Amino acid sequence: MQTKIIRGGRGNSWKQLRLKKVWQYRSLIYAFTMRDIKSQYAQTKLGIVWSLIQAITAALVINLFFGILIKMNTGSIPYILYAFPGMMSWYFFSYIVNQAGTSLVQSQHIIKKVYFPKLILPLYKSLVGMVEHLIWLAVFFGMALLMAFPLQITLLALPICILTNIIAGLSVAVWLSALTVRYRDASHIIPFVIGFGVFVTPVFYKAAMIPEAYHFLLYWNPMAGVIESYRWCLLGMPFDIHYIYGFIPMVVLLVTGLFYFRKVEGIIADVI
Amino acid sequence: MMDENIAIYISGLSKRYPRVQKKFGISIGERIRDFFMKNKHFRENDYFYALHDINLSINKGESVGIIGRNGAGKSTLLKILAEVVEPTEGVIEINGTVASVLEIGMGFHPELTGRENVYLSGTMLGIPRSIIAERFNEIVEFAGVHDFIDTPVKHFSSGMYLRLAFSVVVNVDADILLFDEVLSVGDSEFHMKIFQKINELKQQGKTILLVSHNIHDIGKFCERTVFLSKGCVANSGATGSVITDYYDDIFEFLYSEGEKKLLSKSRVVSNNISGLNKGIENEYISVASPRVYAKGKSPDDDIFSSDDLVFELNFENKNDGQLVDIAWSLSQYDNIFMIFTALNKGKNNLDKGKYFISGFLPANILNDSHFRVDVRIVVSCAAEPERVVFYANIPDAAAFRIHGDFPAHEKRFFGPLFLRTNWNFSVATESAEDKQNMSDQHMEK
Repeated sequence: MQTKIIRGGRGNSWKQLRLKKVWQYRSLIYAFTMRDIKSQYAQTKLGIVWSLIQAITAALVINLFFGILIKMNTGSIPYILYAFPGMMSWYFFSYIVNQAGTSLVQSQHIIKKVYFPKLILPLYKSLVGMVEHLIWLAVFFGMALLMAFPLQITLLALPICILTNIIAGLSVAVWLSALTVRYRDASHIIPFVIGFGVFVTPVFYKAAMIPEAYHFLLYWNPMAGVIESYRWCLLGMPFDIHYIYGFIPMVVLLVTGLFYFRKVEGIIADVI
Repeated sequence: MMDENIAIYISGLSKRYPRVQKKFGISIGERIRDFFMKNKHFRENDYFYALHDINLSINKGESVGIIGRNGAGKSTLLKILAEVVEPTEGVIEINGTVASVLEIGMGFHPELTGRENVYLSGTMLGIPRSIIAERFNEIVEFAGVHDFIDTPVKHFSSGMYLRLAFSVVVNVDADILLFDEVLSVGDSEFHMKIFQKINELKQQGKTILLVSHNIHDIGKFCERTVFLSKGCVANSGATGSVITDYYDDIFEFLYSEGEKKLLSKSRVVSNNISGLNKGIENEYISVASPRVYAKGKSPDDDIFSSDDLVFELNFENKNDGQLVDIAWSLSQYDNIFMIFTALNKGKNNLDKGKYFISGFLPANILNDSHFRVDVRIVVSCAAEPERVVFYANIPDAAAFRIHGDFPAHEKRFFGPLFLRTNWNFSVATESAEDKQNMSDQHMEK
């Protein structure tokens, strides 16, 4: 017989984050993820093929603009192979910020009616995004195969890259999702993060194109580090160790975000 | 450590809400002000208590109803037990797994099939997948949607949808079930199924908490009832007497605050509400001042269950050759349970003129409760009695309160009628086995 204690009033400690609860409810993460994936493609004939088409189209368009028309110089690596890891990583990041960042407000209906640790919502949204991320990865490998591009041993680090990508996305999304509960204004920040972020992150261009004096700005940008790590992993490009600085804002954002999220979780059913 | 037999133990539970939703700018200003003030974040006037210092313990296997007016805190209490809302103060201990139904069909997704939704909503209730799989056939069978279980639920009829959703909750084997106004789903056949299922769950020793405005559901399912008023426990005990107490409170509120001119508090609660008496007036008939009181007493006196009741009204027959039939219908909390009318119909072919009629209801029939009286009037042609020329209902023509003058422990029974008749008690001489044989023989005959 399990005994449960509900206590009023909150403190500020690691235990209060209730991360253990999230683990106990992991099957719900799975159930929600499956629900979203299934309903996303419900009543479509092509189903998941649409994601494939989207990824291929994006690759072709970007290659046309930056690779063929603007002729961006990416050295020995074909532009499309250089840009694509950045694009898919950024796309994944923006999906998490967008979807996980609004996940609490989107699910307000069930939040009011049934208990589960709310952290599940941003978490499962990033898993839904990962399905598409894997499709983009498949497209990348397809292109690499077509162009006979040799893959490196660094490929083994791919899971770590994906994980860091998710954490980078969540560090922003956890904050945003909790903020949107109290201040709907926060959801208007999301287009800024994604719209401007793509320019201050080396998604379409090479980091080397930026004057040396401003490199430190890139180092402190977590997504710059994530994207460079993808390039290191998939293309075997050298990884500038200075990007490790990016971990600092990311971890600070994530930890403070978790505490703020927990604080909002306590009143969410009251205010949403 | 708490007692093993207790399912839910609530101590000092309070839930405080801010009175005004704070705006961003104001909030920052207030925070700065709070910073310099001693008593941070809390000013008495800015908050109200949805629940205040609730202490309650619910035993395992008990079925407890929660009643109270809108805003009394019933749903808040259930939401806190379901962990949807976090309490401000206090501690709750819950022994056993909880399935809470604050809304039927919670978490169902229209694009998913019935099967997928069963798993999804079960998981949301915190039930492991393996248990849902084990119970799956029972769930589907109870809902009666076997043929459509692999169809997206958006194609379900609303009845099928509700049945499946409800079925998940009652079949997943939780120890404690919390229901918020959700028992009245589906058609009457499914209603009966729910009724049976709840009784089955009770027999299995499940603990059930039921919030409902439907007093009859509470009366049917719950042995014990908690009456919440303004966030506090106003009364808790046997269902029958708590419900009566609750209605005392409602009538007190309705007639003392709402319409002061009607009557003083005590008279309404304890007595015949003659102020409600309304008549009708038209070309066929005029009816005035229907009233109910205890025989041999004044209309203002309390009515006890041992009093004979007098039902009276004045009417005027406006045409010759009209048959006038008058029936009294009695209801207890919106549930009509008795209609009575005159036996001596021969005398109702009346000449034009004014009349006074009175009828009697013998003592010791009505329970300790509140009653409302509607008057039904049928006017027909004396020449053609089948042809009704006028039919009318005077709702709430009178209301009265019966005080049961029987022992307090008998006031626990909920229902409109309480007949106290003579029973024969004698010492049983045969053994139980003989009796069984006798009744078997009887059956064979």
